[in-house]
Amino acid sequence: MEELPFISKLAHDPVRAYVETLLAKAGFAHAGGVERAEAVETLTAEAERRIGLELMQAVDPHSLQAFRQLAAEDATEEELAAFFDVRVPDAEARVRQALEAFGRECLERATALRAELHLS
Amino acid sequence: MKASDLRRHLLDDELERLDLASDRAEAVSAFRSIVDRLAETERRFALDRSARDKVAVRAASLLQASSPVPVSTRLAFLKGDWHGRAAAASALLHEGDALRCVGSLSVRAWRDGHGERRGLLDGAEAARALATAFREVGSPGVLKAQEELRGSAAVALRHERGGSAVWERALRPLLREFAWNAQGIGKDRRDAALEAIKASAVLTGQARQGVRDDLPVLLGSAARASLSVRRSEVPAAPSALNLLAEEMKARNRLRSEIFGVLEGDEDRLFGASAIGAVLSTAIVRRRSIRTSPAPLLGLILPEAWVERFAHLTAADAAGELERLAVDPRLHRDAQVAAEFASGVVKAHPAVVRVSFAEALGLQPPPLRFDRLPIGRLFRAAPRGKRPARMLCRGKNGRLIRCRAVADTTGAMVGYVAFDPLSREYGGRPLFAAYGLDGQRQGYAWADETLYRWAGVPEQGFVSVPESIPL
Repeated sequence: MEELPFISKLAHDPVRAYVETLLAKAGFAHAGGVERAEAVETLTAEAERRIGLELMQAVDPHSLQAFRQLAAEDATEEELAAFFDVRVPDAEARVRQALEAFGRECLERATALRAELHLS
Repeated sequence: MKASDLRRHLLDDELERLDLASDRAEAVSAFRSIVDRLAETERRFALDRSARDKVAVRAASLLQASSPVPVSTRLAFLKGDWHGRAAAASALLHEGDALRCVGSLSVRAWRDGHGERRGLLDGAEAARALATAFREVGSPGVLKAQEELRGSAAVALRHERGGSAVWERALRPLLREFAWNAQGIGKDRRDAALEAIKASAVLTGQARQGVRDDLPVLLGSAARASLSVRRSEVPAAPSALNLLAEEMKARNRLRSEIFGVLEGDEDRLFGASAIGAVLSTAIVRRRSIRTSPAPLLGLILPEAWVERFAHLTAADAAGELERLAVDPRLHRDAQVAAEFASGVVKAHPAVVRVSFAEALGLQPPPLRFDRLPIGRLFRAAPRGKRPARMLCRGKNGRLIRCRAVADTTGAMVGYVAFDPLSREYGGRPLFAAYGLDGQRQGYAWADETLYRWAGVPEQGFVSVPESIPL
């Protein structure tokens, strides 16, 4: 199994950068342009969703309600950052863990799919 | 016991051996025994040792595909009478008509002694057998078919133009054979055509290894063109990448159904907000970088990289940095720096026009010059904001676009000029490569990574001149 990609805080879009590197490690570095762009788009969205699903387990229903309200009011980045600082314990570690779990799952499935399709 | 009963009895033994054969060598050996018996039985089929070996090996090759059906019931060579068996072996030996050979070997195997059909051959297996036979001995038939082409089909074949109807006409002699086989296994003509195209595409690779026979190359190209037309009609099978994306999506959906408490797309919004909040360094830095990127990037980029990428176009430099970002030989800090710089550069609104240094607001190092190498080239923008693009006159006064290129060290090494008619006549867009003295020195393909090759391409230059005025 390939080593998981590094989650860079310097990237413009850390999740997209992570997914791009993940695909390269999964053996799709030379996939076609349009197909690859679509897959990156989908996987980035799914990585974000996965992080959301994982973090949800760490917050209470009242906090989720508060988040809904913030989202409805189109809160600023600073307000959202404050929300996660206060309401989600160890938010950064949890985000990283969720992203790594997603990456591991992706690599495992990619390996299995490539074997099923006799690509490797 | 009568002689015929004895033969049947002996053959049963060989068939059992064949069914029990665990590897190719055993299968060849069993086939060889049958061929020996055949040569003894059919006087007109007297074969020398090498010919017998050849028949056995080819028959074993055609049986390599795994199937739940016992091998002894799959081939007319084994199941038919001695006369039919001799005909099949003769086809195997002489390689004259591969498709008929496969037809006699596979299709008739599924008819019983009264000519009644007992079942259909598996489509994939039949296609594999056809493709195998075609690959082995198809070239002579193709060449003959090509020689018979006249008119628009021949012209279209040479220039890769025209619609699927023209290609179908070009492939008609082969399609007829495939259709004959396809009908025997219950497939329609369209399936047969697709199989024919697949098989003929295989010829491309083979023919490129050949010396003078370029017709299979043309046919292979034609097959590819036709196949792409067919693909638009037939829904394409999802690729591994698509399957992966869909599978991850399905897994998240399941998780959401089990654990999710948010509605609709809120879980994704929650995740995206969390990422923005806890990994927000990039967002904050990006804003500051847009106003003044140089101080930060100057700190994180190795000096050698600045030297190397400064005069390349921002787009080419970003592409190379992306490659470096996943290069396992580099230190992780360097990978992160490459990824970061690539992201910043790609955000520039004129990424294909400006130089890397210009996009980042860096002080560019002095230009360096070198000889045009054989190998990887990069588009360069030595004048910073403007691409070094110029127009010059080619053959028959046609305007040619040229632009500067750099080598892998970032030194200016020459120009590439686009050959506007290359696609029209040769099939592939083409650059002519010029050294700093303006003399033509090789070529590069425009539809792939910029890589200079020596000499003149097989399709030839159409509109670019021997030298460009500098």
